[in-house]
Amino acid sequence: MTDLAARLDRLESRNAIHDLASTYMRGLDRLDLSLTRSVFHDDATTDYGEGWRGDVDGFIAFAHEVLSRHAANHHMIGQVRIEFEGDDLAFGEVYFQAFHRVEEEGEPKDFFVAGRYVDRYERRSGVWKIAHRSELVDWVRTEPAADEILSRQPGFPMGTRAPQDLSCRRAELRTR
Amino acid sequence: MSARELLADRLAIADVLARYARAIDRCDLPLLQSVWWPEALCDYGSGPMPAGDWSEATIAALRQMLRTQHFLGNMLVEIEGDGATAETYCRAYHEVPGPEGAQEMEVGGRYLDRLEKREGAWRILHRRYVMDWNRNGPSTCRWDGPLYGTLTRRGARAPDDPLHTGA
Amino acid sequence: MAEPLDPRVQALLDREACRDLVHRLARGIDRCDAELVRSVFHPDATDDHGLFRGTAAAFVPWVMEVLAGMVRTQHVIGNILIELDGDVARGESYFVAHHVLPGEAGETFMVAAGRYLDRFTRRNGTWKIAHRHAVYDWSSSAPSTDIWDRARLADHAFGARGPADPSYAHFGAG
Repeated sequence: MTDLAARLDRLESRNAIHDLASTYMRGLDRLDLSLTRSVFHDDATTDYGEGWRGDVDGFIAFAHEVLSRHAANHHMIGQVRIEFEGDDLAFGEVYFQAFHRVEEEGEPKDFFVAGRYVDRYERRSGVWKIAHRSELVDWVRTEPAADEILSRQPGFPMGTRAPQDLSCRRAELRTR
Repeated sequence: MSARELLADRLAIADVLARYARAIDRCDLPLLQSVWWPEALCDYGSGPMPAGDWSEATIAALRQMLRTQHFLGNMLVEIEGDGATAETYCRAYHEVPGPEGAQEMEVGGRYLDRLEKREGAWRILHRRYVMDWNRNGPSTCRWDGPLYGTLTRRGARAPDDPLHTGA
Repeated sequence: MAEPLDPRVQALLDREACRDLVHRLARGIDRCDAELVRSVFHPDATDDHGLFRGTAAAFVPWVMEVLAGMVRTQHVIGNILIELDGDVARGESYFVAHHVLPGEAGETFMVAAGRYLDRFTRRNGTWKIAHRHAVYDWSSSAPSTDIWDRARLADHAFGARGPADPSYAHFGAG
Protein backbone atom coordinates (compact mmCIF):
# COMPACT_ATOMS: atom_id res chain seq x y z
CA MET A 1 0.00 0.00 0.00
CA THR A 2 1.12 3.52 -0.66
CA ASP A 3 1.40 5.82 2.34
CA LEU A 4 -1.83 7.56 1.37
CA ALA A 5 -3.72 4.30 0.92
CA ALA A 6 -2.37 3.01 4.24
CA ARG A 7 -3.60 6.10 6.07
CA LEU A 8 -7.04 5.89 4.51
CA ASP A 9 -7.17 2.20 5.39
CA ARG A 10 -6.39 3.10 9.00
CA LEU A 11 -9.23 5.63 9.12
CA GLU A 12 -11.68 3.15 7.67
CA SER A 13 -10.48 0.45 10.06
CA ARG A 14 -11.00 2.72 13.07
CA ASN A 15 -14.51 3.48 11.92
CA ALA A 16 -15.30 -0.18 11.34
CA ILE A 17 -13.99 -1.18 14.77
CA HIS A 18 -15.91 1.65 16.48
CA ASP A 19 -19.05 0.37 14.73
CA LEU A 20 -18.47 -3.13 16.16
CA ALA A 21 -18.79 -1.67 19.66
CA SER A 22 -22.01 0.19 18.84
CA THR A 23 -23.56 -2.75 17.01
CA TYR A 24 -22.76 -5.05 19.94
CA MET A 25 -24.68 -2.69 22.25
CA ARG A 26 -27.59 -2.35 19.88
CA GLY A 27 -27.93 -6.14 19.86
CA LEU A 28 -28.03 -6.28 23.68
CA ASP A 29 -30.52 -3.44 24.03
CA ARG A 30 -32.94 -4.69 21.38
CA LEU A 31 -32.46 -8.26 22.63
CA ASP A 32 -31.38 -9.11 19.09
CA LEU A 33 -28.45 -11.29 20.03
CA SER A 34 -27.75 -12.48 16.50
CA LEU A 35 -26.69 -8.88 15.89
CA THR A 36 -24.37 -9.02 18.89
CA ARG A 37 -23.04 -12.40 17.71
CA SER A 38 -22.25 -10.91 14.29
CA VAL A 39 -19.47 -8.66 15.61
CA PHE A 40 -17.40 -11.66 16.84
CA HIS A 41 -15.21 -14.03 14.86
CA ASP A 42 -16.47 -17.61 15.16
CA ASP A 43 -13.51 -18.67 17.30
CA ALA A 44 -13.58 -15.55 19.48
CA THR A 45 -13.05 -15.84 23.22
CA THR A 46 -14.81 -13.82 25.91
CA ASP A 47 -14.36 -13.16 29.62
CA TYR A 48 -17.18 -11.64 31.69
CA GLY A 49 -15.87 -12.77 35.06
CA GLU A 50 -17.46 -15.70 36.82
CA GLY A 51 -20.69 -15.30 34.84
CA TRP A 52 -19.11 -16.46 31.61
CA ARG A 53 -15.62 -17.24 30.39
CA GLY A 54 -15.27 -19.03 27.11
CA ASP A 55 -16.42 -19.15 23.54
CA VAL A 56 -18.73 -16.65 21.93
CA ASP A 57 -21.77 -18.93 21.54
CA GLY A 58 -21.66 -19.58 25.27
CA PHE A 59 -21.49 -15.85 25.87
CA ILE A 60 -24.54 -15.24 23.68
CA ALA A 61 -26.51 -17.87 25.65
CA PHE A 62 -25.35 -16.27 28.92
CA ALA A 63 -26.27 -12.77 27.74
CA HIS A 64 -29.70 -13.94 26.60
CA GLU A 65 -30.37 -15.60 29.94
CA VAL A 66 -29.39 -12.47 31.89
CA LEU A 67 -30.97 -9.82 29.66
CA SER A 68 -34.27 -11.59 28.99
CA ARG A 69 -34.99 -11.27 32.73
CA HIS A 70 -34.65 -7.47 32.48
CA ALA A 71 -37.47 -5.18 31.45
CA ALA A 72 -35.20 -2.73 29.60
CA ASN A 73 -31.54 -2.00 28.92
CA HIS A 74 -29.54 0.98 27.70
CA HIS A 75 -25.83 0.43 27.08
CA MET A 76 -24.09 3.74 26.50
CA ILE A 77 -20.61 3.89 24.96
CA GLY A 78 -18.14 6.64 25.72
CA GLN A 79 -14.58 6.94 24.55
CA VAL A 80 -13.14 4.23 22.31
CA ARG A 81 -9.37 3.85 22.17
CA ILE A 82 -7.93 1.73 19.40
CA GLU A 83 -4.27 0.85 18.92
CA PHE A 84 -3.11 -0.94 15.83
CA GLU A 85 -0.35 -3.52 15.53
CA GLY A 86 0.18 -3.92 11.83
CA ASP A 87 -2.62 -3.78 9.28
CA ASP A 88 -4.90 -6.56 10.56
CA LEU A 89 -4.57 -6.56 14.35
CA ALA A 90 -5.78 -3.99 16.85
CA PHE A 91 -6.43 -3.62 20.56
CA GLY A 92 -9.15 -1.50 22.10
CA GLU A 93 -10.57 -0.10 25.29
CA VAL A 94 -14.25 0.92 25.20
CA TYR A 95 -15.91 2.78 28.10
CA PHE A 96 -19.53 1.93 28.87
CA GLN A 97 -22.31 2.81 31.30
CA ALA A 98 -25.19 0.36 31.29
CA PHE A 99 -28.71 0.64 32.63
CA HIS A 100 -30.80 -2.41 33.55
CA ARG A 101 -34.39 -2.29 34.81
CA VAL A 102 -34.90 -5.33 37.04
CA GLU A 103 -37.29 -6.62 39.66
CA GLU A 104 -35.87 -7.39 43.06
CA GLU A 105 -38.16 -8.75 45.79
CA GLY A 106 -41.10 -7.57 43.73
CA GLU A 107 -39.83 -3.99 43.51
CA PRO A 108 -38.61 -2.33 40.29
CA LYS A 109 -34.95 -1.35 40.61
CA ASP A 110 -32.43 0.37 38.39
CA PHE A 111 -29.09 -1.45 38.17
CA PHE A 112 -26.20 0.50 36.76
CA VAL A 113 -22.97 -1.17 35.71
CA ALA A 114 -20.15 0.93 34.33
CA GLY A 115 -16.84 -0.29 33.08
CA ARG A 116 -14.76 -0.99 30.05
CA TYR A 117 -14.41 -3.59 27.35
CA VAL A 118 -10.84 -4.56 26.64
CA ASP A 119 -10.73 -6.10 23.20
CA ARG A 120 -8.58 -7.67 20.53
CA TYR A 121 -9.75 -7.11 16.97
CA GLU A 122 -8.58 -9.05 13.94
CA ARG A 123 -9.21 -8.41 10.27
CA ARG A 124 -9.77 -11.63 8.38
CA SER A 125 -10.70 -11.75 4.70
CA GLY A 126 -11.01 -7.99 4.82
CA VAL A 127 -13.50 -7.88 7.70
CA TRP A 128 -12.77 -6.54 11.18
CA LYS A 129 -14.39 -8.45 14.05
CA ILE A 130 -13.77 -9.00 17.73
CA ALA A 131 -11.39 -11.90 18.44
CA HIS A 132 -11.43 -11.41 22.21
CA ARG A 133 -13.55 -9.33 24.57
CA SER A 134 -13.10 -8.94 28.33
CA GLU A 135 -15.54 -6.92 30.38
CA LEU A 136 -14.07 -4.97 33.30
CA VAL A 137 -16.39 -3.38 35.83
CA ASP A 138 -15.44 -0.01 37.34
CA TRP A 139 -18.53 0.86 39.37
CA VAL A 140 -22.04 -0.35 40.04
CA ARG A 141 -25.09 1.19 41.65
CA THR A 142 -28.61 0.08 42.53
CA GLU A 143 -31.52 2.46 43.02
CA PRO A 144 -35.25 2.00 43.47
CA ALA A 145 -37.00 2.90 40.21
CA ALA A 146 -37.99 6.57 40.16
CA ASP A 147 -39.29 7.14 36.65
CA GLU A 148 -42.74 8.52 37.43
CA ILE A 149 -42.04 11.95 35.91
CA LEU A 150 -41.77 10.53 32.40
CA SER A 151 -43.64 7.24 32.56
CA ARG A 152 -46.87 8.89 33.73
CA GLN A 153 -46.87 11.14 30.65
CA PRO A 154 -49.33 9.67 28.17
CA GLY A 155 -47.91 9.01 24.74
CA PHE A 156 -44.31 9.16 25.87
CA PRO A 157 -42.23 7.37 23.21
CA MET A 158 -40.58 4.57 25.18
CA GLY A 159 -38.06 2.22 23.58
CA THR A 160 -38.53 -1.52 23.50
CA ARG A 161 -36.91 -4.66 22.14
CA ALA A 162 -36.74 -5.80 18.50
CA PRO A 163 -38.82 -5.97 16.38
CA GLN A 164 -41.27 -3.57 18.06
CA ASP A 165 -38.76 -0.78 18.68
CA LEU A 166 -39.11 2.06 16.21
CA SER A 167 -35.46 1.67 15.14
CA CYS A 168 -36.39 -1.77 13.76
CA ARG A 169 -39.48 -0.56 11.84
CA ARG A 170 -37.60 0.35 8.70
CA ALA A 171 -40.64 0.73 6.43
CA GLU A 172 -42.14 3.26 8.80
CA LEU A 173 -38.84 5.11 9.14
CA ARG A 174 -38.61 5.66 5.39
CA THR A 175 -41.63 7.91 5.35
CA ARG A 176 -41.58 9.50 8.78
CA MET B 1 -5.73 20.79 4.30
CA SER B 2 -7.16 17.63 2.79
CA ALA B 3 -10.41 16.11 3.99
CA ARG B 4 -8.56 12.98 4.96
CA GLU B 5 -6.08 14.97 7.02
CA LEU B 6 -8.95 16.68 8.82
CA LEU B 7 -10.51 13.33 9.70
CA ALA B 8 -7.21 11.96 10.93
CA ASP B 9 -6.66 15.06 13.07
CA ARG B 10 -10.12 14.76 14.60
CA LEU B 11 -9.54 11.13 15.53
CA ALA B 12 -6.12 11.98 16.95
CA ILE B 13 -7.66 14.71 19.12
CA ALA B 14 -10.39 12.34 20.38
CA ASP B 15 -7.54 9.98 21.22
CA VAL B 16 -5.79 12.62 23.36
CA LEU B 17 -9.00 13.10 25.37
CA ALA B 18 -9.44 9.33 25.78
CA ARG B 19 -5.82 9.04 26.94
CA TYR B 20 -6.48 11.78 29.49
CA ALA B 21 -9.48 9.89 30.90
CA ARG B 22 -7.59 6.62 31.00
CA ALA B 23 -4.67 8.27 32.82
CA ILE B 24 -7.02 9.78 35.44
CA ASP B 25 -9.00 6.56 35.97
CA ARG B 26 -5.90 4.37 36.16
CA CYS B 27 -3.91 6.97 38.21
CA ASP B 28 -1.20 6.79 35.56
CA LEU B 29 0.94 9.91 35.97
CA PRO B 30 3.33 9.36 33.03
CA LEU B 31 0.34 8.85 30.72
CA LEU B 32 -1.34 11.96 32.11
CA GLN B 33 1.82 14.02 31.53
CA SER B 34 1.86 12.80 27.91
CA VAL B 35 -1.37 14.61 27.00
CA TRP B 36 0.04 18.11 27.71
CA TRP B 37 2.67 20.19 25.93
CA PRO B 38 5.41 21.21 28.41
CA GLU B 39 4.10 24.78 28.79
CA ALA B 40 0.43 23.73 29.00
CA LEU B 41 -1.84 25.47 31.49
CA CYS B 42 -5.03 24.12 32.97
CA ASP B 43 -7.77 25.71 35.05
CA TYR B 44 -10.19 23.47 36.93
CA GLY B 45 -11.60 26.33 38.95
CA SER B 46 -8.72 27.46 41.12
CA GLY B 47 -6.99 29.51 38.44
CA PRO B 48 -4.60 28.60 35.63
CA MET B 49 -1.68 26.47 36.68
CA PRO B 50 1.02 24.45 34.93
CA ALA B 51 -0.64 21.25 33.77
CA GLY B 52 2.37 19.19 34.88
CA ASP B 53 2.06 20.39 38.50
CA TRP B 54 -1.70 19.96 38.41
CA SER B 55 -1.26 16.38 37.17
CA GLU B 56 1.02 15.41 40.06
CA ALA B 57 -1.31 16.88 42.67
CA THR B 58 -4.38 15.36 41.03
CA ILE B 59 -3.01 11.82 40.80
CA ALA B 60 -2.14 12.03 44.51
CA ALA B 61 -5.71 13.17 45.28
CA LEU B 62 -7.24 10.47 43.06
CA ARG B 63 -5.30 7.80 44.95
CA GLN B 64 -7.33 8.78 48.05
CA MET B 65 -10.52 7.83 46.20
CA LEU B 66 -11.77 4.28 45.83
CA ARG B 67 -12.50 4.42 42.09
CA THR B 68 -13.37 6.81 39.28
CA GLN B 69 -14.76 6.60 35.78
CA HIS B 70 -14.52 9.55 33.40
CA PHE B 71 -17.04 8.87 30.67
CA LEU B 72 -16.58 11.03 27.58
CA GLY B 73 -19.43 11.86 25.26
CA ASN B 74 -20.05 14.44 22.57
CA MET B 75 -17.09 16.30 21.19
CA LEU B 76 -17.15 19.39 18.99
CA VAL B 77 -13.83 20.24 17.37
CA GLU B 78 -12.75 23.11 15.18
CA ILE B 79 -9.42 22.59 13.47
CA GLU B 80 -7.40 25.35 11.89
CA GLY B 81 -3.99 24.35 10.61
CA ASP B 82 -1.97 23.00 13.52
CA GLY B 83 -4.33 24.39 16.14
CA ALA B 84 -7.66 23.06 17.39
CA THR B 85 -10.41 24.15 19.75
CA ALA B 86 -12.53 21.45 21.35
CA GLU B 87 -15.44 21.02 23.72
CA THR B 88 -15.83 17.53 25.20
CA TYR B 89 -18.69 16.41 27.46
CA CYS B 90 -17.82 14.29 30.48
CA ARG B 91 -19.82 12.43 33.12
CA ALA B 92 -17.41 11.57 35.92
CA TYR B 93 -18.12 9.06 38.66
CA HIS B 94 -16.10 9.03 41.90
CA GLU B 95 -16.43 6.73 44.88
CA VAL B 96 -14.71 8.24 47.90
CA PRO B 97 -14.21 6.90 51.43
CA GLY B 98 -15.94 8.79 54.26
CA PRO B 99 -16.48 8.49 58.01
CA GLU B 100 -20.01 7.19 57.44
CA GLY B 101 -19.07 4.82 54.65
CA ALA B 102 -18.25 5.32 51.00
CA GLN B 103 -19.91 8.20 49.17
CA GLU B 104 -20.52 8.48 45.45
CA MET B 105 -20.10 11.72 43.62
CA GLU B 106 -21.05 12.22 39.99
CA VAL B 107 -20.05 15.35 38.13
CA GLY B 108 -21.21 16.45 34.71
CA GLY B 109 -19.04 18.97 32.95
CA ARG B 110 -17.13 19.91 29.87
CA TYR B 111 -13.48 20.25 28.92
CA LEU B 112 -12.72 23.35 26.87
CA ASP B 113 -9.37 22.62 25.26
CA ARG B 114 -6.96 24.26 22.92
CA LEU B 115 -4.71 21.75 21.26
CA GLU B 116 -1.69 22.06 19.04
CA LYS B 117 -0.04 19.72 16.57
CA ARG B 118 3.74 19.65 16.72
CA GLU B 119 5.78 17.30 14.53
CA GLY B 120 2.61 15.38 13.76
CA ALA B 121 1.48 14.87 17.37
CA TRP B 122 -1.53 16.53 19.01
CA ARG B 123 -1.43 17.56 22.67
CA ILE B 124 -3.31 19.97 24.89
CA LEU B 125 -1.92 23.46 25.30
CA HIS B 126 -4.68 24.99 27.41
CA ARG B 127 -7.60 23.52 29.31
CA ARG B 128 -10.52 25.05 31.13
CA TYR B 129 -12.99 22.82 32.92
CA VAL B 130 -16.65 23.87 33.09
CA MET B 131 -18.94 22.34 35.72
CA ASP B 132 -22.56 21.63 34.77
CA TRP B 133 -24.10 19.44 37.50
CA ASN B 134 -23.27 17.13 40.35
CA ARG B 135 -25.00 14.39 42.28
CA ASN B 136 -23.95 13.08 45.67
CA GLY B 137 -25.03 10.41 48.12
CA PRO B 138 -24.09 7.29 50.00
CA SER B 139 -22.53 4.77 47.65
CA THR B 140 -24.87 1.98 46.57
CA CYS B 141 -21.97 0.16 44.96
CA ARG B 142 -22.21 -3.53 45.78
CA TRP B 143 -20.45 -6.50 44.38
CA ASP B 144 -22.71 -9.39 45.31
CA GLY B 145 -26.10 -10.70 44.21
CA PRO B 146 -27.26 -12.48 41.07
CA LEU B 147 -25.97 -9.89 38.59
CA TYR B 148 -23.06 -8.09 40.22
CA GLY B 149 -21.77 -11.23 41.91
CA THR B 150 -20.78 -12.69 38.57
CA LEU B 151 -18.93 -9.57 37.42
CA THR B 152 -15.66 -10.49 39.01
CA ARG B 153 -13.21 -8.76 36.68
CA ARG B 154 -13.02 -5.32 38.20
CA GLY B 155 -11.21 -2.18 37.27
CA ALA B 156 -8.17 -1.08 39.26
CA ARG B 157 -5.45 1.49 39.07
CA ALA B 158 -2.24 1.01 37.06
CA PRO B 159 -0.38 -1.32 37.14
CA ASP B 160 -3.02 -3.59 38.71
CA ASP B 161 -5.83 -3.02 36.20
CA PRO B 162 -6.50 -6.08 34.03
CA LEU B 163 -5.63 -3.76 31.13
CA HIS B 164 -2.01 -3.86 32.34
CA THR B 165 -1.83 -7.28 33.96
CA GLY B 166 -3.67 -9.13 31.21
CA ALA B 167 -5.41 -11.12 33.95
CA MET C 1 -15.97 22.68 -9.02
CA ALA C 2 -13.54 20.89 -6.78
CA GLU C 3 -12.21 17.51 -7.82
CA PRO C 4 -14.51 14.75 -6.50
CA LEU C 5 -13.14 13.03 -3.44
CA ASP C 6 -12.22 9.39 -3.18
CA PRO C 7 -15.60 7.77 -2.36
CA ARG C 8 -14.08 6.07 0.69
CA VAL C 9 -12.98 9.42 2.10
CA GLN C 10 -16.36 10.89 1.18
CA ALA C 11 -18.17 8.15 3.14
CA LEU C 12 -16.06 8.87 6.21
CA LEU C 13 -16.76 12.59 5.83
CA ASP C 14 -20.50 11.99 5.45
CA ARG C 15 -20.60 9.98 8.66
CA GLU C 16 -18.58 12.66 10.41
CA ALA C 17 -20.99 15.35 9.22
CA CYS C 18 -24.00 13.45 10.59
CA ARG C 19 -22.26 12.81 13.92
CA ASP C 20 -21.42 16.51 14.12
CA LEU C 21 -25.10 17.44 13.67
CA VAL C 22 -26.08 15.25 16.62
CA HIS C 23 -23.37 16.79 18.80
CA ARG C 24 -24.23 20.33 17.72
CA LEU C 25 -27.92 19.82 18.46
CA ALA C 26 -27.07 18.65 21.98
CA ARG C 27 -24.97 21.78 22.42
CA GLY C 28 -27.79 23.96 21.09
CA ILE C 29 -30.25 22.47 23.60
CA ASP C 30 -27.90 22.69 26.59
CA ARG C 31 -26.96 26.29 25.85
CA CYS C 32 -30.59 27.21 24.93
CA ASP C 33 -29.22 28.47 21.62
CA ALA C 34 -32.28 28.59 19.34
CA GLU C 35 -30.21 29.60 16.31
CA LEU C 36 -27.87 26.65 16.72
CA VAL C 37 -30.79 24.24 17.12
CA ARG C 38 -32.49 25.65 14.02
CA SER C 39 -29.26 25.43 12.02
CA VAL C 40 -29.02 21.64 12.21
CA PHE C 41 -32.47 21.08 10.64
CA HIS C 42 -33.52 21.48 7.02
CA PRO C 43 -36.19 24.21 6.71
CA ASP C 44 -38.96 21.62 6.19
CA ALA C 45 -37.67 19.13 8.77
CA THR C 46 -39.95 17.42 11.27
CA ASP C 47 -39.51 16.32 14.86
CA ASP C 48 -41.27 13.79 17.07
CA HIS C 49 -40.50 13.94 20.79
CA GLY C 50 -43.74 12.20 21.77
CA LEU C 51 -44.89 15.25 23.73
CA PHE C 52 -44.21 17.30 20.62
CA ARG C 53 -44.94 16.27 17.04
CA GLY C 54 -44.54 18.74 14.24
CA THR C 55 -42.15 20.78 12.18
CA ALA C 56 -38.66 21.58 13.38
CA ALA C 57 -39.56 25.25 12.94
CA ALA C 58 -42.26 24.81 15.59
CA PHE C 59 -40.09 22.49 17.69
CA VAL C 60 -37.51 25.23 18.32
CA PRO C 61 -39.80 27.66 20.24
CA TRP C 62 -41.52 24.70 21.95
CA VAL C 63 -38.26 23.25 23.25
CA MET C 64 -36.93 26.68 24.24
CA GLU C 65 -40.00 27.18 26.39
CA VAL C 66 -39.62 23.74 27.98
CA LEU C 67 -35.95 24.50 28.66
CA ALA C 68 -36.81 27.88 30.17
CA GLY C 69 -38.76 25.98 32.83
CA MET C 70 -35.62 24.05 33.80
CA VAL C 71 -32.56 25.21 35.70
CA ARG C 72 -29.95 23.46 33.55
CA THR C 73 -29.45 20.46 31.31
CA GLN C 74 -26.63 18.32 29.98
CA HIS C 75 -27.23 15.94 27.09
CA VAL C 76 -24.40 13.42 26.86
CA ILE C 77 -24.21 11.59 23.53
CA GLY C 78 -22.74 8.11 23.37
CA ASN C 79 -22.79 5.41 20.71
CA ILE C 80 -23.82 6.50 17.23
CA LEU C 81 -24.62 4.09 14.40
CA ILE C 82 -24.98 5.69 10.99
CA GLU C 83 -26.09 4.00 7.77
CA LEU C 84 -25.34 5.87 4.58
CA ASP C 85 -27.53 5.57 1.52
CA GLY C 86 -26.45 8.16 -1.01
CA ASP C 87 -27.88 11.51 -0.01
CA VAL C 88 -29.85 9.96 2.85
CA ALA C 89 -28.45 8.67 6.12
CA ARG C 90 -30.08 7.13 9.14
CA GLY C 91 -28.64 7.42 12.60
CA GLU C 92 -29.29 5.97 16.01
CA SER C 93 -27.59 8.03 18.74
CA TYR C 94 -27.65 7.07 22.39
CA PHE C 95 -28.09 9.85 24.93
CA VAL C 96 -28.28 10.37 28.66
CA ALA C 97 -29.86 13.74 29.43
CA HIS C 98 -29.45 15.32 32.86
CA HIS C 99 -31.98 17.97 33.93
CA VAL C 100 -32.21 20.13 37.04
CA LEU C 101 -35.83 21.14 37.63
CA PRO C 102 -36.94 23.92 39.97
CA GLY C 103 -39.49 23.26 42.71
CA GLU C 104 -40.90 24.88 45.81
CA ALA C 105 -39.44 22.18 48.01
CA GLY C 106 -36.05 22.34 46.28
CA GLU C 107 -34.60 21.27 42.96
CA THR C 108 -35.08 17.87 41.35
CA PHE C 109 -32.38 16.03 39.42
CA MET C 110 -34.00 14.14 36.56
CA VAL C 111 -32.19 11.84 34.16
CA ALA C 112 -33.84 10.75 30.93
CA ALA C 113 -32.00 8.42 28.59
CA GLY C 114 -32.79 6.98 25.23
CA ARG C 115 -31.92 7.25 21.58
CA TYR C 116 -32.36 9.77 18.84
CA LEU C 117 -33.48 8.18 15.57
CA ASP C 118 -32.52 10.69 12.92
CA ARG C 119 -32.92 10.86 9.18
CA PHE C 120 -30.24 13.04 7.66
CA THR C 121 -30.39 14.25 4.09
CA ARG C 122 -27.81 16.00 1.94
CA ARG C 123 -29.04 18.91 -0.11
CA ASN C 124 -26.76 21.13 -2.16
CA GLY C 125 -23.80 19.34 -0.61
CA THR C 126 -24.85 20.01 3.00
CA TRP C 127 -26.02 17.38 5.48
CA LYS C 128 -28.80 18.36 7.86
CA ILE C 129 -31.46 16.60 9.90
CA ALA C 130 -34.70 15.96 7.96
CA HIS C 131 -36.49 14.13 10.78
CA ARG C 132 -35.72 13.48 14.42
CA HIS C 133 -37.53 10.99 16.58
CA ALA C 134 -36.63 10.73 20.26
CA VAL C 135 -37.16 7.33 21.90
CA TYR C 136 -36.77 6.98 25.67
CA ASP C 137 -35.31 3.92 27.38
CA TRP C 138 -35.15 4.94 31.05
CA SER C 139 -35.52 7.82 33.43
CA SER C 140 -35.03 8.56 37.07
CA SER C 141 -35.68 11.57 39.25
CA ALA C 142 -34.74 12.41 42.82
CA PRO C 143 -34.22 15.50 44.96
CA SER C 144 -31.10 17.33 43.84
CA THR C 145 -27.97 16.63 45.88
CA ASP C 146 -25.91 19.38 44.22
CA ILE C 147 -23.24 20.65 46.63
CA TRP C 148 -21.81 23.57 44.66
CA ASP C 149 -22.36 27.06 46.03
CA ARG C 150 -22.14 28.75 42.65
CA ALA C 151 -22.21 32.29 44.06
CA ARG C 152 -19.25 31.65 46.33
CA LEU C 153 -17.09 29.67 43.93
CA ALA C 154 -16.37 32.72 41.85
CA ASP C 155 -13.18 31.36 40.29
CA HIS C 156 -14.86 28.22 38.99
CA ALA C 157 -16.40 28.03 35.57
CA PHE C 158 -20.02 26.88 35.66
CA GLY C 159 -22.16 26.00 32.70
CA ALA C 160 -24.64 28.65 31.62
CA ARG C 161 -27.27 29.16 28.96
CA GLY C 162 -26.47 31.41 26.02
CA PRO C 163 -23.30 33.39 25.37
CA ALA C 164 -22.43 33.62 29.08
CA ASP C 165 -21.24 30.02 28.90
CA PRO C 166 -17.43 29.94 28.68
CA SER C 167 -17.61 27.80 25.55
CA TYR C 168 -18.75 30.76 23.44
CA ALA C 169 -15.60 32.75 24.15
CA HIS C 170 -13.65 29.48 23.79
CA PHE C 171 -14.85 28.97 20.21
CA GLY C 172 -14.53 32.68 19.55
CA ALA C 173 -18.20 33.14 18.68
CA GLY C 174 -19.39 34.89 21.83
